[in-house]
Amino acid sequence: MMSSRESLVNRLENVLKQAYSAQKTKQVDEEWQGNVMRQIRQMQSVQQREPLIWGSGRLAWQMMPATCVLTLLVGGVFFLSDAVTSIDMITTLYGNTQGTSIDTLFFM
Amino acid sequence: MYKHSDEPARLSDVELVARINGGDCNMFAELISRYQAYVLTIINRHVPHQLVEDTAQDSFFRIYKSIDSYRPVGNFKTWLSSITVRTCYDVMRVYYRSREMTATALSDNQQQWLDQFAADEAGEQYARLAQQKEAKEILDQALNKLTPAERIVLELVHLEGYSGKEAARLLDWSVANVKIKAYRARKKMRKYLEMQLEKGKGKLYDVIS
Repeated sequence: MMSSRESLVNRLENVLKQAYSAQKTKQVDEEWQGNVMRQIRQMQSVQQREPLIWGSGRLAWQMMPATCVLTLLVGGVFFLSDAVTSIDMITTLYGNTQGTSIDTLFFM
Repeated sequence: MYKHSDEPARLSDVELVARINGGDCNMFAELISRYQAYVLTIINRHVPHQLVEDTAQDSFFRIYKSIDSYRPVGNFKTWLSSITVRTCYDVMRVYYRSREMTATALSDNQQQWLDQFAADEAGEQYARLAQQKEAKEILDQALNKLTPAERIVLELVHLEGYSGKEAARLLDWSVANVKIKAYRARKKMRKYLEMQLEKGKGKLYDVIS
């Protein structure tokens, strides 16, 4: 059985719900729409002026998962092969045919 | 000049969106004209009066920025309302952070309104009472006791009648999250209303004794 207090709160809730639905919508004038369109046009002109930056930004986000996987793979390869092999790879890449020790790499 | 069949007003929403995506941003003006009233109705329900214009502007900026993400398979109006509701939520979060939290008691007029309501057991005056500004003020006071997340969920689910699933889609939250927040928010609001009714009774008893 619902208490009288509970029923009073229920009724109050319903009246407030009606008040919520009855609230008047604030209107905006034509100047407001003109202002919005002016800023939209500005946004568009910025996008057109810098299509490469906008495009490359979006491309970077799209490429992010692939880049992460690739980084993990390369990191894994480096981690699994021992340090000397890695140094050998670096020296080969830089065309240094003479033997390179860790000292020469870091204290050059 | 546009050809007769190309007049912005004659284009469907999907065609209009395609034109905007194609770079014709003037078509966005037609979109604003078409949906301005609808967007304003949503915003009026969720943000304070003084923030309506700025929120509407912000909503249309967001709509423009994300218009290329709209897929014609879905209802355009639903997509639009989802962006608008999320903008309102973001605006309210900022508003809550910036406002001063003061424990305000009901004004004399509001208390009088509440007493009139409590005295009208048959509910004959309810429709009239709901139209008075005090009703909205008391509702606002009750809503101010909630967090922005609880507030928007309560407004959508309990005051506007959206289902948990629909509200979740609008806010891009999980249904469980919406249901939990709706339950908590309603409980908080009822507790506040109950407290105000009790206070009113107390005053009445003081006068009688």
